[in-house]
Amino acid sequence: MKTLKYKASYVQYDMPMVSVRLSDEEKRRLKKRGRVSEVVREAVRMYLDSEDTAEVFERLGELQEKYRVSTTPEEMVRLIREDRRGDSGR
Amino acid sequence: MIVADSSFIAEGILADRSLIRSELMLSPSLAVYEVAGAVWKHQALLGRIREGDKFLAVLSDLLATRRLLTVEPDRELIMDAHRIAVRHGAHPNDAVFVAVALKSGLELRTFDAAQRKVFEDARSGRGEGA
Repeated sequence: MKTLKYKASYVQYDMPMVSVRLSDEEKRRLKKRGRVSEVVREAVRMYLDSEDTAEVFERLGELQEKYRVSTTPEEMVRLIREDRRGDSGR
Repeated sequence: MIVADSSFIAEGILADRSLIRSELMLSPSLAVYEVAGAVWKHQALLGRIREGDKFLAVLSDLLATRRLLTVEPDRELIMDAHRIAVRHGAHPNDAVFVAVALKSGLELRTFDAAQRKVFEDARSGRGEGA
């Protein structure tokens, strides 16, 4: 697959293309941040990451409610340090 | 953005999500395996959870959504961590978190008092003559 390499991502020719109408002001502001398509793509990624993260924390909340792990931070440190000493705790 | 060590991430995932909920975290990739080890211990050794895989899925999703960014080892990081470990009498696994924090200029969040002391000493230049 032929790719075009930009600063932080790879764009493939068979990727779907989406057209977005922008006001002149929005376009001007986007251009200040770099190549418009790159800035829009990064903005989409950030939005999706943010939405997905909210779901992840919702799921984590349910898990933590279910188990209510009582491990203190000090105990967590001890568990991790055991491995650094080569003692798995078994 | 913060540098989070394994104890901070593990506590956030296993016990108190509020610790990590609003943080963008940077950590050496070692943390992923140490947190996975803590999850395993909670399930296999301590019996405090049954669905370790679901906690690990959360860890994986934090990576996928770039909430947790990992730093892969390169020559500079390996050497920095070694130098800090030697100068401050720290385990290299402690030192690599300190090295990432110092290099990035970010605050190190840890529950490990010994690691925090190494960070503060290294940041202030104490022990540089060793």
